[in-house]
Amino acid sequence: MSEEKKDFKPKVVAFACHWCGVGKNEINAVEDFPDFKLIKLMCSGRINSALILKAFEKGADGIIAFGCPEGKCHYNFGNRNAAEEYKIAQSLIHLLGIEPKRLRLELDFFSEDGKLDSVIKEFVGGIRKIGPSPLRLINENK
Amino acid sequence: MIKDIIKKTKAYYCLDCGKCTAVCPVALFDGDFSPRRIVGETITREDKVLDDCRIWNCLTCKMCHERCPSDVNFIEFIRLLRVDARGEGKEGICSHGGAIQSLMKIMTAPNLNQKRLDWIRPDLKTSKDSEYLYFVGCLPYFDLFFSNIKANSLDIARSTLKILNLLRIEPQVLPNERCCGHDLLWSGDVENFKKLAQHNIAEFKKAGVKKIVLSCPEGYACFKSEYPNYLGKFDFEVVHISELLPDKLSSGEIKLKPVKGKVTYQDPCRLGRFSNIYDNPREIINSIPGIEFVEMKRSGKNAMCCGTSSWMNCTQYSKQIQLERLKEAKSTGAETLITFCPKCQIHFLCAQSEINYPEELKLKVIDLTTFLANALGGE
Repeated sequence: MSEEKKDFKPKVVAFACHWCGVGKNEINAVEDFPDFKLIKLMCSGRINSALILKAFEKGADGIIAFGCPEGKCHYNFGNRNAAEEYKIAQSLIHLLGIEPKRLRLELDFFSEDGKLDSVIKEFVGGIRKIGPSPLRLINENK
Repeated sequence: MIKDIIKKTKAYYCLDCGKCTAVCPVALFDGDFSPRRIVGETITREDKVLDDCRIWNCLTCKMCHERCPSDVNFIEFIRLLRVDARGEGKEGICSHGGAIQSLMKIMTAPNLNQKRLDWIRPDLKTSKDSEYLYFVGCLPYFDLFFSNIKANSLDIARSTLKILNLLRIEPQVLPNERCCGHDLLWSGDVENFKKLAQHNIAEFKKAGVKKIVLSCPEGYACFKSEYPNYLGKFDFEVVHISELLPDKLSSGEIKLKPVKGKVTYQDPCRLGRFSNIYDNPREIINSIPGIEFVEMKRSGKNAMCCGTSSWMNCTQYSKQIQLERLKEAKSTGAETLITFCPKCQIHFLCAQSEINYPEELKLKVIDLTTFLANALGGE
């Protein structure tokens, strides 16, 4: 890996549904990643491609979203909407040439001790390997 | 400076006659919106206008300018006000949560490596050294983003390429062309518009193309007048697909098979009032054997807008405009409404997908390139 990647501090945005457990708690792993933003939502159904694209536009290197498992949505269908929107967002970022690993949806999630940290660590580890988002330059040129 | 905007667009010539408001599709439904009053109020109390949310509601369809006896360029007036308002941190209400605005801004990134050519089927021929370029524009993005209303915007791209191949043109199609910037420009974001334009011009130069063919009227109008306006000399010939066709159709070089049915045609503002292309699309439609073509009451220069522009301020009035236009199309007895702009098609399909949209007003909405491509291959 190049020097640049060694110093690279990934900017990560996490969208988290309140009911899946993630949104209720602060995330311990945050200390490791200074550029980590947790955005709490009442339901993963609020996530749409507009939010995801906006975060990439603003220079996020990775976006992870958490929601409840199939059949367990507090609002019945929110996580299904999230899954549909996620598919569209995935295809849009593919068109834009953004690496697919920069976006992840975890719809199998009820917070268990330690599981959340390990998921985030693994995700951020993946981002570190890919390096900074090509879209960071939009903001740096200003 | 608002004084300069008034001067530049000759707004001070306004006679207060109200013809603009009488023909404005927004004013037809939104009692608060009146081009006449906006001009009048701006002249009398300049400082307030930038706070006015009405400046974002204009569709910039140019109907007002078409009718104005004093040649006041109202839509340019609005556009320049938007530039100033944006300078003060204001903006319109983005439709679709701002996703399309984000797409456009993301495309200003210099090191983008798009994967936007997957739609080109093996039977469609492109080349790497043709002097022709087919500028696809936002179609791959629209196709995906509007899959819920089955816009199938890439059908337009495939049809255009099929038609070009038939004309013995195997154009270049660039993997890293950007959005043309039309919508950013019309929503007052000149800075990002220029970035997109510069990227595009660099891509065109690198590819060594001389002629740019477009199937989108917004891109066409933008390349034709806004690129030279903002970036100086634009050394490429800009051709709309409709300009290539009528001769070849009348000479019989392109053979068409009969298509039965009654159709009507929606003039897109950027092709009609902006670019003065009214006859070519009609000649194309009439050249298809078996087709019965009927005009809507408001057509050509008087064609009514499809209700939304630049992906912003899509309001209940937009829906009312769309419903009004679809009613007009249906009243001709046509079962198909032919559009010639991917956005007109998306807007009319969206209006028809509303839950309370009356079944008896349903129409097939199809782009002219797709319609023509379906008729290709006659004896």
